[in-house]
Amino acid sequence: MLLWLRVAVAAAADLGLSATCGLLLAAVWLRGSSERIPLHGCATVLCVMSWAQLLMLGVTFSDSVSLRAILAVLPDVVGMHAGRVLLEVGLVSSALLLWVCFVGRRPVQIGGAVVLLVVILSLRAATGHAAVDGDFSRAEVLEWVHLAAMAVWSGGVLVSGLLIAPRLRGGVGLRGYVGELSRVSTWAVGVVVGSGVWKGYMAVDGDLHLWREGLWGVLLAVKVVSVAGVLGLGAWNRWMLRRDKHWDEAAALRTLRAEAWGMVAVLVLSAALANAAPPGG
Amino acid sequence: MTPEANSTVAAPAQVSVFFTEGLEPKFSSLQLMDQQGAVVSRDKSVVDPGNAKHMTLTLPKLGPGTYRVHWMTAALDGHRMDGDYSFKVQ
Repeated sequence: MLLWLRVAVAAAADLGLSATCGLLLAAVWLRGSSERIPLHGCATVLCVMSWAQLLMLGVTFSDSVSLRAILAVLPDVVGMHAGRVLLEVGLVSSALLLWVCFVGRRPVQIGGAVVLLVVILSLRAATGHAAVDGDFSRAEVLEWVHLAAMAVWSGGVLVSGLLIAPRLRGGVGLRGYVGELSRVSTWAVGVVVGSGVWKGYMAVDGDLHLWREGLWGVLLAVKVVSVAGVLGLGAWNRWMLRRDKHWDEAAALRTLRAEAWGMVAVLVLSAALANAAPPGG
Repeated sequence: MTPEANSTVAAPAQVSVFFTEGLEPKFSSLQLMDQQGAVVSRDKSVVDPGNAKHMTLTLPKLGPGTYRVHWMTAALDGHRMDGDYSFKVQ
């Protein structure tokens, strides 16, 4: 029960991070347009869920859901590597929320938010299984590359499919917007898949039989199938975009929405994988 | 690990276990229990300051019998794990 609550909080934090990244990309792709970019909402989810992750670590190490017990163990929890990094993620996420709330001028707001998001990604790379090799290890650098590419891909698809593209329907800018998304996503997907395969190989230390062991192996298999599904939808959309002179806007929006929901599943599975015991551990 | 799991040994002075990942000392421990489940170790286990993957527990003088080592660990990534193994003292 506690594990699933931890996974749910981690998934919500990942969704907040991806959506914030996607909105920043959308702001760049829609520069000059008057389209409203709801950065505050996603930054709020990211901030709240980052602090919730620290609380969940307190729950794990106090073996209790009592606030008094959690607060009693928190000093020791933030003395741990994982606790210290989650505290830093919480602080930088709060700074990001304050920044997007109080800095109104668009280019400055977006630029500052991008810098803070890169800091959050760097801190996030130092948590999870990559942390066991120490700071600035090869595993952490690989994790950073994977996280950054995943945030670009998942964020772009999520925000576009569920928020931005439906609002652009019927306008002249939608095809160009989907084209930008498709171009950036293609590069990001290449990095995600390459770094993901390398990460998986490192997690089993070259012993591929371990991939078939336990819950971790099952989750990884389901995630690979989900990623393949989302990739297929993305490829279909890109093919339609490049092929048709008479682009079917409604079909593209439907595919993009399905892609976005598939991405939600991928992010939830990623959170479950990060919280499951690694094989051979 | 020393003594090894399911081994029969002369009374050991300590239990020594190596783990695959570095440990958080505050949330990692070893305990020794007798056949009845009573805790027989009096000292606190120690994570080696020079090697965070190594934890030891100094033992009192043990009589013949079967003993169970219970380990609890917190890794640097924040994951908790625990487990047991047994050995016999002749």
